Amino acid sequence: MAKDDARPNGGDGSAPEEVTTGDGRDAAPEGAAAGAEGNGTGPRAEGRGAEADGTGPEGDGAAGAEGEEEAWGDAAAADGAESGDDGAGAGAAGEASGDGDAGGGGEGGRRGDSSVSIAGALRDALSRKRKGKKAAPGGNGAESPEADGEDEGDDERDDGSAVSITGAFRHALSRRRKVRKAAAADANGAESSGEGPRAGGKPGGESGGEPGQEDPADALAAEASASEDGAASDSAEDSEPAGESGGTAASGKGEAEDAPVGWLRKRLDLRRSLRVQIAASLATPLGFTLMASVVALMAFFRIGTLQEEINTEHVPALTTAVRIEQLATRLAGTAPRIVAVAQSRALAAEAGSEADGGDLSMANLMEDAARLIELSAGLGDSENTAPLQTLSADLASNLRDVQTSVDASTSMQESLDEMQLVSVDRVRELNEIIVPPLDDQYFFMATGLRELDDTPASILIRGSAAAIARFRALSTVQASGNFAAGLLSEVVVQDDPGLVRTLEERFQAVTDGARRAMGTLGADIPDGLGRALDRIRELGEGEDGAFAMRQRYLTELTNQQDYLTRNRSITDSLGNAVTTLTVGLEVDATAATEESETALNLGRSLLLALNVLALTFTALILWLFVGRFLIVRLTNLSAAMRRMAGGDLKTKVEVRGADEVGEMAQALEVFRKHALEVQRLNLVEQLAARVEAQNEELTQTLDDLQKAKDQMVMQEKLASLGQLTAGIAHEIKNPLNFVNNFADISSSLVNDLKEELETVAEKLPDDTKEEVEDISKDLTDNLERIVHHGKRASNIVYGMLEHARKEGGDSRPTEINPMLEEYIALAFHSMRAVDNTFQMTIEKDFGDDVGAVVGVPQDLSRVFLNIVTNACQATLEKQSGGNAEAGYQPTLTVRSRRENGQVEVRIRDNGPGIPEEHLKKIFEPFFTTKDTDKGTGLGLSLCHDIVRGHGGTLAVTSEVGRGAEFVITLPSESPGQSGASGAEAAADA
Amino acid sequence: MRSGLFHPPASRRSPAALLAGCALSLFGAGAAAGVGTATGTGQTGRLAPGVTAETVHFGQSAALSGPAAALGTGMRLGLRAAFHEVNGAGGVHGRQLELTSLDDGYEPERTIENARQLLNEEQVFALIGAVGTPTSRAAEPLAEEAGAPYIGPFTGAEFLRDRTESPTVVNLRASYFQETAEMVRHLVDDFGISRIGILRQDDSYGDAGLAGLQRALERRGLELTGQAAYQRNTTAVKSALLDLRDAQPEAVVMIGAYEPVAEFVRWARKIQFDPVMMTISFVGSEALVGELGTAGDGVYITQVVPFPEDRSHPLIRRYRRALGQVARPAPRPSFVSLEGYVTGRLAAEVLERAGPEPTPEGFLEAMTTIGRLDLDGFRLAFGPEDNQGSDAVFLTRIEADGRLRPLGGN
Repeated sequence: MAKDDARPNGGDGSAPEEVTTGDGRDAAPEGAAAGAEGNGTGPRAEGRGAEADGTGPEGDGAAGAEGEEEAWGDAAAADGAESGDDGAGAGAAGEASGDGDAGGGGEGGRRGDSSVSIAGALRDALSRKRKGKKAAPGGNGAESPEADGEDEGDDERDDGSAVSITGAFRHALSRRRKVRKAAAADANGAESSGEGPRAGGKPGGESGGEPGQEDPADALAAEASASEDGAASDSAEDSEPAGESGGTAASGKGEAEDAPVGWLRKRLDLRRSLRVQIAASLATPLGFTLMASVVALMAFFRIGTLQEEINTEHVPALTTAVRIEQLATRLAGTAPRIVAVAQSRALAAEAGSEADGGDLSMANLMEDAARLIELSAGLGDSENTAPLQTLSADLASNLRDVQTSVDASTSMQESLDEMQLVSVDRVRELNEIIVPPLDDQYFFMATGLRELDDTPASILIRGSAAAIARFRALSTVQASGNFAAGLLSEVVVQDDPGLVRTLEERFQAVTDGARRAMGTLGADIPDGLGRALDRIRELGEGEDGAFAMRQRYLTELTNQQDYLTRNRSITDSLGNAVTTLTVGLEVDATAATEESETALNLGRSLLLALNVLALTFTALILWLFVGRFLIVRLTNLSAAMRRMAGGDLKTKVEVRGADEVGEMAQALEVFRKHALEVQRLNLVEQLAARVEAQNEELTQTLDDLQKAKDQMVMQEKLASLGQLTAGIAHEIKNPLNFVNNFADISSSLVNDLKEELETVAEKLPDDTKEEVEDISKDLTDNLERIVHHGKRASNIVYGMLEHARKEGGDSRPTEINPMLEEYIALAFHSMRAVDNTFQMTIEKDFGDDVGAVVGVPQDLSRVFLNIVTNACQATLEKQSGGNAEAGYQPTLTVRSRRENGQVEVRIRDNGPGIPEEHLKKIFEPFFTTKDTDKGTGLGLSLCHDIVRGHGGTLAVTSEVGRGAEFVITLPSESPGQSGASGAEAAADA
Repeated sequence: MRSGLFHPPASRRSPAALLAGCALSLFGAGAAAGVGTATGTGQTGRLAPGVTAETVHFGQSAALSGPAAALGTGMRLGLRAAFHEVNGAGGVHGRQLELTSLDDGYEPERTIENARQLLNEEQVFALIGAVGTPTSRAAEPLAEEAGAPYIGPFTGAEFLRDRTESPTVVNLRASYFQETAEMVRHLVDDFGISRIGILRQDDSYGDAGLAGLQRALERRGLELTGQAAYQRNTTAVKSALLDLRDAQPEAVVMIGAYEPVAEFVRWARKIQFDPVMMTISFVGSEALVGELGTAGDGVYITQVVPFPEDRSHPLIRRYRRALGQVARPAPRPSFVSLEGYVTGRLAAEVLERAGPEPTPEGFLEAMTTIGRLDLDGFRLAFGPEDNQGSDAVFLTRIEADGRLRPLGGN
């Protein structure tokens, strides 16, 4: 087909073909009929072309994708070309070059300069591809469509695509593979320039031959690799550099499309290795970070300086000021409490119970005051601190006054308390002195009696004025004493200084009265009364008396209040001074803090800006370099690799760029192509191997079949032989009987003859006699031989008949174990009958569950008898053969088991064993190793037949010198089944 | 005084006792420490206050001088006799009993001082053998606060017999209520007298006697016929005598010390005021007899311990032997020293039961759980709510020969 296409094409020149490619299907009818049918490739090329037009470089990719299909067709066409037909070659190439020619024509006519620049680009690209020699034709071919594109630039799409097409074309040429592809590309080019066909139709025809000569070769290459898509991707690749170098001149559009990228690309074109990319992408953020660090460092230095100023100058001063204020406040607060504590014991109790009671001591207070002075001195001399120092000193001195006053009042209070106690004691003392005389006086006045021995005094005496006066005086003294004591008790708790004075006056009056009353007692004053009165009086009198002391005490309390008031006012002033100082310090500190804050803000803003810049650039670089150039391409690359790994070797590797990634992609592409080839080769090899294997299989099967056939033939032969044998045997049997019988009779007749001769022996001459005797002897001998061999023949015949007969009777369930017992014994005794020295160890191992099998008892018993007899013979043979080891004891082991629905009987002897070569034949009829008079060679064959007839198997294993083992397996089916199968077995037999 | 600032005193005390309060707080701290160690004894093996490996230390504050001196010295003598006897027999759990006696002159103020000294400085295990009601009223709270037992005070005051009010007290003798009840029973039931007056000391002792007497009279639907008081520590009873005479009672119960009572009896006789006169054990029988001599004829005295001349009594025999061993020549037996002796024996007995490592708590626990206790025929009984060992009250009478005799039938 392709061939056919090619020829007309070739014949018509490229014109019809161009038509097809140019306008697609619509154009086809317009062109020659040959063109319409033209190339299977034609329509395809056109479709491709349409795509290529649509989207510049990518169009190539798409074209490539489709190019694949085309490839086959092309390949076929190339085949035709290859077959030696030049015209066909030209035709095939015509697709490719025809356009080129057309372009060429256009070019020649329209734009020399642009074509030159493009040619330059092409050369550039070609040189990079190291395909210099191809440059010329490629250049030619490429120039033309490009020129077309530009010239007929009414189609906007043209430039990029044209360039890419040239790239593709050139590439195709350089690689010598993609004729078809290039042709397709050309077709695009042709198509893109809508009128291309017409314009370049004729010139295409002429010049098409030129590059066409090379096309066949290319086509070959294309066939070989069958990777047109590769060409597509190549062209895509190439379109870029082409775009770079020539694009500026040729296509503004390609640039406008991707301006920054293009710019960057250009910038980095020189050295676009990964190293440079990564270094650049890292260095920029790093640079910004460094700048940020420097700015931050400077800001910190500035802040640090300012902060230190605050720390070293303002903060300690502030702290001290605050401490002073605290201390002052505490002093102002504590002092009154201490005073209060000193004044009231009840309060003392409370204060003592308070948690901070330990703090409430004058000593602590003074300590605090000292610290206050120390602190204010530590502030240094300044306008603000001077009042502070003065006030602190005042406060301390005032506190000392408080202390003195409190000490004084406390000691006075103690004295007063003491006095109160003493007064109680002294009143009791007074009473003890005064009460008895009073009692005595009263009694005397009542009864006139003073002593027990006295006689009562008269009423005149006991009622006299003197007696009454004495009673009154004593009473007054007692009352005054008690009253005075009461006053003493009262004054101790009296808080009003005025009342204290009043109480003192009354105390004096009372004690004076008591003394006066005592004075009236005259000489009869009770012992110690005066002294007791004095002792009461002295408690209240004088400077140290209770009243004066209380007075002083109260004054002291007033003083303390004054001191405390002053304390408070000093503290207030102190607080004010501290506030002044603090405010000043705070102003300074605030200023410094603000300054440092400004520095901080400035530094922060700068840092922020730098960080934003750094981030922006980093993001930009990441996006552009890493994302756009690296990641995307790497992703594509890895996707391509995965595709290849997944077995898709046909998709082209499409990764742009001139860096390591690009190189990797190229390498991968090469690898892919190789892999594709290898894959194909592998496929063939695999197929060959498979065919070979199947062949072998077939041969084997054939062999097997042959063998089976041989066996069948053999069996047939054997069967007919058996029948023949049986027939013969039957026929021979009767004559043989006659022979045997008459031989017997002849023998007895010879004997009779001899006896008869004996009777006439004397009558015969000696010679005759001897001769007769010799003859009769020979006769007898002959007869014996006849008998002997006759019997042998009978045996053979009998055996043959047996073998042929086989059928033994009805099938029925037969117990195996008893049968084994019976026939083992029978066989043994048979052997004993032959050789009565024969001894044998018989080991029986019968399974309890063996039970019965369905079979013909006579047949089965024959099997067991035969095998056991064989075993006995074998052992006997070994024993008598002389090659038995010392102490050899013939041993027979019989084992029966029921397993998997089968009965298995194993009969093993320890005889000489059976040689390997005999084992194969052991069940064949007439095979025997025994003397001719001992075996017919039919026994085991018969056994074998019987067992198989019962649906079982008979197998033998042996180890030469150690013995042999026969394994009989019989199916032991349920009665019904076994009956059926038994019947079948019988039928088979 | 200053130290008082830092220690909470017993603020519930009356303001008048502020000074005492301050002192108390000092003492309270010590007592608290003492209690602390006492409670820890069981675990740590440390000994309670007043207890050493070899000794148990008792303290006594009593009137060793003044008008009631005979009572204090008598108690001391009896205690010493008892301790001597116990110590001679090996002590209690191997510990010798020691006694420190201080004189308070029957003045409560001094009693407080003494008690403080004994409890805080001497660190005695218990206070024992105190004399008098007002003194006990002063000293008992201190012992209670210190957790120290207050053993066998020579008084029948009712407040010492209330376990709730006086948790650390161990009483030996019958109460004043029981004594006055016995007097009234005798006067009313035996003598058919209904007009009964009272002479009393003007303090809590006298009050206790008065209260007991009034209670006993009320039970019989009677009222007191005259009452008079005299000042403690004086013999100024004559005004009281005149007051009582005016009331004309048939019998006068005298609640006082032996001196004023003797004075009262003598002067009553002198002015022919001759009611039946009865006085109470606290008076100090021997002292009273010694004061009055034959003039005491017909004065009845209630007793709370057996008659010390009754040699048939095993307790008395033992007491007299112990008395003979503690001093030479042997002092005269007396009701007071007998009571002291029995108190000492009682203390030793309870201590014995408190175990080898006695604590105040253990001692009091032993007292409440001791149940019945027979001291050579003198039967005592204690219980959780009963801190008074004996309920026995005997009546004695001063005979014409100036000798004391137990009243028949008792």
